[in-house]
Amino acid sequence: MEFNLKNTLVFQAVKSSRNFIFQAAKPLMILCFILAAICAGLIFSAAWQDESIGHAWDKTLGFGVLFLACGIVFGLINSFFNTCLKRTRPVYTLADFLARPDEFNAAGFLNFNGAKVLSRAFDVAGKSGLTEPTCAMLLFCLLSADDPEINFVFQRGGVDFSVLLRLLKSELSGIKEAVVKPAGDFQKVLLPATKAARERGAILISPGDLLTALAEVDESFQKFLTENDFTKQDVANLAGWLSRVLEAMDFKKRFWEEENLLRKGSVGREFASGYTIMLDRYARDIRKAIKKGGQQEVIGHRKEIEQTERILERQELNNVLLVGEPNVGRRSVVRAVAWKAFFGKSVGAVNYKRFLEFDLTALVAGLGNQEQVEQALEACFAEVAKAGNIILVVNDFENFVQEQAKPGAINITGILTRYLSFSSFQMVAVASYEGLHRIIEKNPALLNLYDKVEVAEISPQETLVFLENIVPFFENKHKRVIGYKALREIIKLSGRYLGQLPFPDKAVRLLDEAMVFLSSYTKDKVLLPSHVQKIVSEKTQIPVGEAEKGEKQKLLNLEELMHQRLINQEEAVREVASALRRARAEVNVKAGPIGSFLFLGPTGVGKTETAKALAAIYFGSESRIVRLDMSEFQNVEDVKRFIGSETEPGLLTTPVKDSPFSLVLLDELEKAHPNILNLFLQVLDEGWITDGLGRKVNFKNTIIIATSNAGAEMIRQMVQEGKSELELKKDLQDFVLKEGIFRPEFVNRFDGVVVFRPLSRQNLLDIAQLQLAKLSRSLADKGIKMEITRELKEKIVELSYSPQFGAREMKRVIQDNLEDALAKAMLSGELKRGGKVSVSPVDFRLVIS
Amino acid sequence: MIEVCPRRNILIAFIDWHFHGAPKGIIRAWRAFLFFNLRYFSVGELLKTLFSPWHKMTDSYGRGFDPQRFVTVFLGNMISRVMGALVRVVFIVIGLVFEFFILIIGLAVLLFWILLPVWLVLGLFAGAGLLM
Repeated sequence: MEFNLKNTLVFQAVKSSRNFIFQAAKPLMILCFILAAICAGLIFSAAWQDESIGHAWDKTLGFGVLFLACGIVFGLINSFFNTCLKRTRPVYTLADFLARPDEFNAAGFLNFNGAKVLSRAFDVAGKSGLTEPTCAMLLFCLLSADDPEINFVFQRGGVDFSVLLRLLKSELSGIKEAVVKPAGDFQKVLLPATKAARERGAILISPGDLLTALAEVDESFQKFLTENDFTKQDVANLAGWLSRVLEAMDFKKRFWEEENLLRKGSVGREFASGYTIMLDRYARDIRKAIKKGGQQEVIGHRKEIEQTERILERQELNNVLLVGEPNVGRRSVVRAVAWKAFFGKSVGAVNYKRFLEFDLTALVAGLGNQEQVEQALEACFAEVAKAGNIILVVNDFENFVQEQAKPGAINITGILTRYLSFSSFQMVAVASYEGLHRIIEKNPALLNLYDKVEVAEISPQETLVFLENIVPFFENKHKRVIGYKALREIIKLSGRYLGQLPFPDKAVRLLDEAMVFLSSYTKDKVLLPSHVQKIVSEKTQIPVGEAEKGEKQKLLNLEELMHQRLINQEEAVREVASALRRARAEVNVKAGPIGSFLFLGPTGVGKTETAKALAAIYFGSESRIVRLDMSEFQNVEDVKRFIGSETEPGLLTTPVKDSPFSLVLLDELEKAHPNILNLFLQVLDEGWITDGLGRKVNFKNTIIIATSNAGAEMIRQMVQEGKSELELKKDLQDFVLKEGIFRPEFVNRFDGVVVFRPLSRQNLLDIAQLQLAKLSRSLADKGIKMEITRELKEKIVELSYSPQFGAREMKRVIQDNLEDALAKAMLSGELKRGGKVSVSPVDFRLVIS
Repeated sequence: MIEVCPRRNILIAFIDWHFHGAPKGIIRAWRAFLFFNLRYFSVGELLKTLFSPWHKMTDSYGRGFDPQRFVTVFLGNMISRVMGALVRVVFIVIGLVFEFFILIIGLAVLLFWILLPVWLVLGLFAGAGLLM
């Protein structure tokens, strides 16, 4: 790849920027204009005081003219430098460069600040005896350039780079003195930097893009970022954020741009449209908000906006039914279309139309009886049809078309159906999935008059951009700074713990709450991740901060922690722990849940207990298990119960939607209907499922554990034969597939198939010890000491063990024989605080001392 | 090797910017103002609907043929159209007058810019002349 900075115009700009005339042009221009203004003021003041304008005033005028001319000259120089030299516009695009990198001089694609940094890097390299700079030199120059973009990345990111700068400085002085010099490897950042620039929609490479590229290719910088809990993506996000802000500010300044001028609106366009006197009383014109400049950049929903425009442009069937979850951004779609129409940037038939939000609730509440309401509605709809330039927007549409209207609502189906068939009557109805399935779909005649557009939730990445756009609003309101890491934490935690709401709403609410907390209850000036964690902990009762911090530790010690509750099953525990570590460390990037496991083994060997232990350790509580007995879903009709329908919530989807950070435990999986198992193909693969109401339910923050007794007898036999773990697992998988219990594509989608071995006598004794220790601890709380003997444990094992049920009976045996007797003794006063008790292994008689 | 933005002589770059780049920007802004004015006064839209009834205020002729009603409705509708046309013509004229001003102002700005070096030389000479 060719890189010759000196051959480029931008290098000339960099060189010129060091020239005195270009540096001083602006202050000199201002000085000259001030002096010219003073001269003019003196002349006018003399003229005002009627003093004779003689020779002396000629000189003042002469100076004034000279200063004015000089001021214009300096202004020209300044303008030439800023608009021509500094802003180079290459005729080729970054895409051209990426397609044929060897054909271009890459330096031509740098912007002024990028070239400035590289020019300095070449100077540094030259002083060190190199022909080309190294990545470390480039990084040093970027960090020490006092560039606004670089400063923004680190300041917003809350990362102090002074230590890194010192390290780089000493490294560079080492190179200077070294006999064997390193190779100038800076060129390896050029292509990644070009990609970064292209991804943020820029035409030139900026210092932020160079920094992003260094985060990708330079190991020491990567290490520094990792130590500061930062990634390459974060650097790119921050660079993109600043570039968007600067671009918007720059665009706003250029008042002569078409879009800025068009914001003033127009007069006379509505002379040919009908009056809407009645409608104006109950409707709000979205254009008013647009005129005020309230329309933000539209994030995501491009597809939905285009679909809506296409439908509205049609001659027939030109009504839109926008369906989506509340707060998913349905109104943003309407406003985006209205915004485009206002500026004449939408499709022909939609441009310049009035988008009126019809407040049906106000209409119903404001008028006395049904007859009046109907008359008013008729009048409003007639005005819409006659006006010919209106697109009516009705929010919560389902409330107004149900047969038995709620208080404050009305059934407008009858009147509406008549008008909807007119092409001059256009409507955008906004409804929820629930409303669509429960109410609107029951009236096919009405539904057929609309074309449905489904509004999907925006992605976490898009939500981050959304939050970045509203940061100035919150910062101005609360007079506090919002750190980038806090935004990142908001996205992460709201996605993980606030499942009931869609993005971006849940993130915005969390940001709002965090800012209120920061400004009202703390003296801190910057919103940090810890503040966000505190809010989420209070909202969800989950110790988020700790959990996050301790998560790594928990993952590293998962086996030990699980064995505090589980006896034997070393292989199973190790496999679960390893798979979970792999998933969390994102060793293999996948879209599915955190982890998914199929537990195979006989009853009572600890499959469910493993799941419970995992939930308690990883999710903080056993209550975060969504447990489903799959034997309840043996018929195809049960799919509805499983994923929900308009009449009932889904037994799987609703709890996961409400609590996305949970463990899903599917007991006796082999008993479920194959169609239900098929649903899991997508869940395990993609990490989401569409519920019965058409909503997307995210499983990406869940651990899925399915248990099955399939092949239990075979396991027992093989263990007796003394087969190895590997053989056991392979033969069991073959058996399960051969018998058609599960299909190969289903089994393969699990992160791990874990085989649980039958429990040995020693294992059972250990389990008995665990259970008795648990009982002993609860007695100790009451000041009673209980002695646990080997004989007692052996007796319990003898009574509770069966090959069919494993250790399942142990709890019941302890409960029936021990706990009952202890309870009676305590109630009768036989066993008191400070007492000591031992149990006879023969007849479970209590020996109290 | 393709140079996307090759190094140039600074004087030639200045001349190119002053007589080509900057005037292009002025013309673009000028065009935006001209276009905005036409849009602001909806000149095209008003011309297209010049004889449309004022705010669609028309009466229906009704069923059957009643000469008296026909005449009344016809006259009423005609008044609506004539009134609409009058108001529209006023707006079109105002729009065109503004358009003319923008045209003149834009042209003046463009000429002033192109001839700026001349004005500057004249200014410097005039100033120096007054001082001498």
